[in-house]
Amino acid sequence: MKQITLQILRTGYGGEDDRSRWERFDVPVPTGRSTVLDALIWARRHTDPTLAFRNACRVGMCGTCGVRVDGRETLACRTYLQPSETSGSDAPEIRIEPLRILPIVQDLITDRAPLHAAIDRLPGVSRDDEPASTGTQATDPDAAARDCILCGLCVSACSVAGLNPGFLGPAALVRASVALDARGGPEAAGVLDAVGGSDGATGCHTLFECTAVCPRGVAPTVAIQRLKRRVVKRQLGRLLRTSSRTGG
Amino acid sequence: MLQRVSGLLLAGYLFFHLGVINLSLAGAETFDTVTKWVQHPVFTVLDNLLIALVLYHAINGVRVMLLETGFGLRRQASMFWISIAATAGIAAYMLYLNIPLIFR
Amino acid sequence: MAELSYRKYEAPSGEFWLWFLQRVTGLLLIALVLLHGWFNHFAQIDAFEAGLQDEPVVFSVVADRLTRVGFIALDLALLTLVLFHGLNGVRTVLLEWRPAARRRRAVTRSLIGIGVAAWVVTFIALVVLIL
Repeated sequence: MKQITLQILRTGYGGEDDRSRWERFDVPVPTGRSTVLDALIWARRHTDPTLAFRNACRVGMCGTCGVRVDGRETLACRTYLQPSETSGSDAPEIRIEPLRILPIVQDLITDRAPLHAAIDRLPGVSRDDEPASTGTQATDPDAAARDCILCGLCVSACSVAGLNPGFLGPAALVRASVALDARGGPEAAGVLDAVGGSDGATGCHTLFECTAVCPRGVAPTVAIQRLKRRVVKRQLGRLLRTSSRTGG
Repeated sequence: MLQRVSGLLLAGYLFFHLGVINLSLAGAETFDTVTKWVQHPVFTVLDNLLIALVLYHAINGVRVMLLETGFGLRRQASMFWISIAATAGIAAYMLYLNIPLIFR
Repeated sequence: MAELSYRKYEAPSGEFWLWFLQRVTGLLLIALVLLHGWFNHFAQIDAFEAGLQDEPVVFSVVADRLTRVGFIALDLALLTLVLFHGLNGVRTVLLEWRPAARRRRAVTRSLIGIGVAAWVVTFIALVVLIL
C-alpha cells in the first residue's frame, strides 16, 4: 500500500520548558482520495491516541479542522494526500502545524476565542448573528462574503495580524462588511468608526494572503478595500459637515 | 514588505540628501567641491539605484491605491507583474540615459 | 438603551487621517519628485551636453533658480510633503510592532521633533541662500 510520513508539531505536554516538538507518523494511504484528516484519524487510532486535533463535518462546511500543511493554511478535510509507492524513510513527507496567531490548546487544536473577541469589538455586530447565505453567491462577491465559516485560516495567514496583535483581522472585517450591507444609519457609523484605524481596515496591506487560503471562496481583501472606501467617505463627509457648520 | 523596505531606505536617503544639500548651499566654493565629489561615476551608479528605488516605491504605491479604490482586485497577480515590469522598464531606460555619465 | 456588557472599540480618527494623508501626499510627491528630478538633473545634463554649461551642475544656475517664486514654492512644498510622507511612513512601520502606549507617544513625538528640526534647518539654509 502507498504510504506517507506526517511530521506533526506537538505542543502542550509540559516537561522541560514546555517546548513544541516534531513527531513522525508513518501512515498508509488506501485511496487516491485520502485527505490529511483521514491520515490524522488513522494516526490517532493506530499510533498515538493522545494526538490532539479537531474535526466535525469532514466536508469543508464547519471550519473546525484548520491546520497548516507545509506552511500553508488549509482545512485538513479538504486537502488530498499525494503518497508514493515507496515506503519507510523514502515515503513523501508533509509537515502539519497548528494555525498561527490563535493560542494553541494542544497539538493541532487552537483556541478560536480571539476570532470572536475581534467581532465583539464591532459595535452592533453580534457573533451569534450568523451571516446567513442567500444562495445567490455564485456571481456576487459581496454575497460570497456571507459564506464565511469563521475557520480562522485567513487570520493565521495574515502578516499584519502576525505583527500587530491588536489588528481586527480579515474574518472580523468581513463580518463588519456584511453587517454594513445589512443595515445603515447610526449603527453603520459605529462600525465604520471601529474599522477606521490602523487596527482596522486601513491597517490592511492589501497582500491577498487571506484571500489565497479561504476555503469558502470569500475574498476578505475585496471586502476590506470596500470598507476602506466607506471609511474614507464617512470621514470626508464628517469633515465637510463640521467645516460647513463652523464656516457658515 | 518591499514597500516598507524601500520606504525606509528612501527616508534614510532623505536625511543624507538634506544634510549634503544644506552643507553645499553654504556658498559657491563648497557647492563646487560637493558637486565634484558626487559626479564621480560611483555616485552616478548609486543615483541609478536611487531612481529605481523611487520608481518602485511610487509605482507600487499607485498599484496599492488602485486596489484600494477597487480597480483590478480580481486581477491582482497581473497588476503586480505589470507594476514590476513598468518599474524595471523605466529604470533600465534611466540607466541607458546615464551611461555616458558613468563612462566619461 | 441597554448598556453593553463588553467594551466597544472606536479607532481614533487621527489614525485615519494620517493614513489618508499618506496617500494624498504620496500622489502629490510623484508629481513633485518628477519636477525636482527634471529641473535639478536632467535639464542641467541636457544643457551641459548642449555646451551651454561647463559642468552638469553649476552653482549659479541653482542660485539663480532660487530667486524665482515658483521654484522656491516647489522646493518648500517638496520639503514639507516629503518630510511628512517619510516620517509618517517610518511611524507606521514602527507602531506596527505594537510598542507600549508610552513608547508610542515617544515615537510620535520624536519623529515630529526630527521633522520640524529638519524642516527649520533646511528652511534656514534656503533663506540664507536666497538672501
